[in-house]
Amino acid sequence: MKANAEVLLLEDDVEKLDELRRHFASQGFHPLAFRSASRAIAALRDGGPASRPVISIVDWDLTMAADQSASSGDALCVLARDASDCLVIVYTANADSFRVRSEINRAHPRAWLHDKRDGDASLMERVDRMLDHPVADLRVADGSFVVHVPSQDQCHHREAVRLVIRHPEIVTFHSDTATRAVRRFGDWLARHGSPATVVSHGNRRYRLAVTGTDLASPPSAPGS
Amino acid sequence: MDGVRAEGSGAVQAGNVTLGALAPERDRALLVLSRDGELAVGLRERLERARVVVKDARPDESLTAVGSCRPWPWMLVGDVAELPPGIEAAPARHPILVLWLGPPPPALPAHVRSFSRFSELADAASRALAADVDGMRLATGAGVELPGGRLARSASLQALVSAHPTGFNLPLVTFTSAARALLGSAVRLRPRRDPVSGWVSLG
Repeated sequence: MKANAEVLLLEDDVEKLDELRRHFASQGFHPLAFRSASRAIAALRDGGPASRPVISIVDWDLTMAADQSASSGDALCVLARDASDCLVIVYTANADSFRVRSEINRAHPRAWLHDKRDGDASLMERVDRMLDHPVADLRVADGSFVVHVPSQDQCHHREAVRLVIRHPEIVTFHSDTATRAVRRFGDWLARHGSPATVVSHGNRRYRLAVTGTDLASPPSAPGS
Repeated sequence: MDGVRAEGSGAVQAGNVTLGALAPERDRALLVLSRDGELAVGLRERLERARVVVKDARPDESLTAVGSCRPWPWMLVGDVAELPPGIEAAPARHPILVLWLGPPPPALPAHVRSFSRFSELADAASRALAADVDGMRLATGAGVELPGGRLARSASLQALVSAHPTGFNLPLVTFTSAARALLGSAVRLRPRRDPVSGWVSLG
């Protein structure tokens, strides 16, 4: 079954939100767009498709949101606690401010920071670089599956996509269904003779490791 | 600590969320105690994030923050002159590396290392993350990669590798999981208690 991975977008500017939505849709993802933090939080907590996004893009500055009952920081806290398997990028025009960086770190210790002053295009270029980044002989394609490049075989599961996108970090999965999918992905990698392997850290925590390179080479940090 | 409010630009906080920095964390965690967060921001930008999660806590959040690190923080860093009440229990019971910017509060354990400059402290934290002891290195995220690639999840072994060649003034029994993890490996080192100092290190 082909299931496009969800991307949660939180942006108070209608035009920018639409631009992000179109961009991720063109990449094969299923964008879930919100103009206020309270709506995003409700969606993250209702158990629906938005509760398990693979990527979240969060605008720190939500001053134009009609509903101000929750902040971007609140949304980041919920992402950190309830969707810790999600890669989170926060963008702000105040990335130079120590106070803002500190608040973002406290809301979501793993969030990546992006400087809004670099322009909207730079955010999308950065996300594209992260998604296009190969891990050993694997690539993510169309936001929905992992390709074993030598054989062109495909593994269609969002948890496999999640592991590749988050490489080399540990990902904590939230259900037995997800961990079964991760183990099947590990078997799939072994069958294809990939140098990438799935390593279990216990308690539903897994990471993708590349034989002989993980400790030697630093991770491909997407920026700041 | 439910009800701790997140910041966020131009918005009223919902009040029913837990700060991400206080959420449960099973990966290698570096807990920073400071009044303004500057130390945590600096360390987060300096250290390789796939290897360590930097949790930024204020003194009044310190007990919750320590409890959120499972099984315990890999490293405790701070710059406050006075230790928040009750916080001394964790490093007195578990092998937690402790680095301090400025004079360390007296309640901290004997293995605390103090620094007068941030860059020196950050270098020490980097070196602890990059430690290579008899072929053992900290694995990405958590645990120790043993020679041959086997992953040892023991948090006490992780602490001993990071602290090598020094160690911790704790009972040898604290390091049972480290000794167990090394059984059957090619590593010859074991947790050993110095009969004079009473400190346990890899030897």
